[in-house]
This record gives sequence, structure tokens and C-alpha cells, in this order.
Amino acid sequence: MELTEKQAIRYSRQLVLPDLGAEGQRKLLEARVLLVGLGGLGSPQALYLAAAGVGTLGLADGDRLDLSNLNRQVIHFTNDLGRPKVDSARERIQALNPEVEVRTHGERLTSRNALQILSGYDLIVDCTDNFPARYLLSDACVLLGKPLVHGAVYRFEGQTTVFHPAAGGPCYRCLFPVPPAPGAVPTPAEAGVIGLAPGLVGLVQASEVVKLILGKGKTLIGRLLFCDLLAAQFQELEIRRDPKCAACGENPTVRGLEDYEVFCGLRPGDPEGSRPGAAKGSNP
Amino acid sequence: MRLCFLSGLKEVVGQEELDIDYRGGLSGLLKLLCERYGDDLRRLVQDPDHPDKRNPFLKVLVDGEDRPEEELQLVGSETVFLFLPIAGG
Repeated sequence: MELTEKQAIRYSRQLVLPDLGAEGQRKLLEARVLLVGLGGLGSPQALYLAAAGVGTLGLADGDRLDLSNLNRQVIHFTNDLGRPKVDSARERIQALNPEVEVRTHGERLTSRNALQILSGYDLIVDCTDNFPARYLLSDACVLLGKPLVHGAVYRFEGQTTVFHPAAGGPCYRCLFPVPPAPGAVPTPAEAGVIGLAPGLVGLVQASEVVKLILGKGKTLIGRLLFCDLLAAQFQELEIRRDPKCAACGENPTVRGLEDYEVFCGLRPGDPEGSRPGAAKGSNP
Repeated sequence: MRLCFLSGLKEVVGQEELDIDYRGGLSGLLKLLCERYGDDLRRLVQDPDHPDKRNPFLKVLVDGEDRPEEELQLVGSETVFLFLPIAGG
């Protein structure tokens, strides 16, 4: 694929990077990345990945925009209130970079449709806000052998890593084999979050996406990066693949997707506020 | 020994780091912390069904490494990181 004259100008500031260049730009243009969740983490990533020239961006989110989202979900505007997030995000991306192919998935990601949706992408990015969705994505990525770029936030803090057992790293279940009991840890609505935290963590995730596509740099596979904005501190911890992991261990018992609300101790019809870490309407 | 409290625990303990004099297993360390910080910490770090064990969703890394609980005999010079899963996005 040859770069067009317009592409050579649009991406000129990154084409001169020794670690990127024309070959790297072609990799970006050919890449297919799925962002699951268009909230605080997904919003900045969608914009920066589109600006960088990622060729195909999948947007998966079943929610509509609420006023309480706007302190952190910067891809959506006040006049988008009530609209599906996938629609407002698609408009912003196309306004920024019309060359990006945007595929929207406005239905909720579930154990019934996840493998089919994820199989159309090279890389999956976890921008969700609840535990059932995180276990669903991790198991699906293990089954498909795809890397999962993880991010999560809490108040002024956040954490990021790349789960990729096929490359020797752990999966989400290696790190947290058991989900917290419902109500054991505060939901994002209870704990609160400053928009800067998912902004920062989201862009660390986006940089991992770019490195994985380019095959350059040192990724966060096997490393968990914590950031604390109040303390202005970053902390890196080694994390390992668990040989006994139910999903990616030596004798895995996860051979397909399951009901992740049940796995996380929830019952159908539970109020959303009682879900562990759940925000409105974003459960799988 | 230095204890570092990350996501979800820092607020309960009221500080990010704590230096204590301790040698022994992880369960003894958690029991010591629960005595100091009370039920708010206890419900997060102790298994409610097996109080001598850690809560299964509590993550403990020693000197940055993830070691099996049965191998966790602390000699007192380690840095121990404790944190909970967070889901916000």
C-alpha cells in the first residue's frame, strides 16, 4: 500500500519517526482495532488512534450519552445527550480523519456475540466499566489468541497492562482469578473519578496499541502500570502467567464463554447500581 | 518491611505506604493489619469464610513479583504491594 499525497502530509510528523516511518504507517493503516466502551477510557483513545491513522476502528458500546458522562468522556458533546455513544463517537472520528473506516457495534457485547465481533479485529482494547465485561473480554481474547489492552480507573488512579497469553503474558484471570463479591468494592459512581485519570490511562492504552501494531518498543505484556495523579507517581509491577489459570493455564477449564453476570455473583434483573463496578447499561 | 497500598486499599488504611516490623506468613500480616485498621479493611482482605486466608480477590505482590500464597514467608526486608481489582472506565 502506497501512501497518498494527502496521507504523506497528514502523517508527516510521525512519518519522520525512525520507529514508525512509511512502513509503520502502512501497518497502522492496515490495522483493525476494537474499542469496547466509549466512556472515559475509550473517548481519548478513539480520537488519538484515528489521528494516528489506524485504518479500521471498531466502536462497541450499548449506552446512550448521559449528562454525568461529560466530565470525562471527551469524544461526546453536550448536544449529544441521549444519543447512542457509537453515533456521536463515529461523527467525531470521521470529522477528525475521514479516511478511518469506523465500524459501530451498538448492541451490548455478550457471551453470544463477543467471539463473532472480536474475530473481525487484530487488537481488542478493554475500556469497559464493570467486572463481567472485563472477564468476558479476557476469556474471549484468550480463546481467539488476540491481545487485550487493559485499562481501569478509580478516583485519581488508574492501571494499565496488556494481556496476551499467546505471547507469554498473563490474562485477566491470571491476575484476578476470582471477581470481587457484589458490593465488595465501590462502583465507579460511588467511588467517583476525575476525568484526567481515564484520559491519562486511555492514552497509555493507545500507545500500547500503536506499539503492538508497529512491533516496536517494550509493551506492557507482563507488567502492570499503576498511576496515581494525586501523588504524581507511577508504579510498575511484574505480573505473571498463572499455570493454573482456568482460561490460559496448562489445563484450562474455560473452553467457551459463559454467563459473566452469574460468574460475578449477579442475578438477572439486579439493579445496575448493585453490580460490581457497573455503570449504567454497560454490562455484557 | 514496607507495605504499599494501591487501588482500593489506600483510602481504608489512610496512607500509601507503611513501614512495619514483621516476619512470617501472609495470613499473619493480614491479621495484624486488620487488628490495626478494623472491619473496613477486614472485609476487603480476609476471606469471610476462611479468616485465616486472604480474600481471593485481594492481590499481593512481593518485591514486585506475584508469588503463590503458600510460598509467602516474609523475612522482613520485602516491599509488599496490596491492591484490589478496579473496574472503572
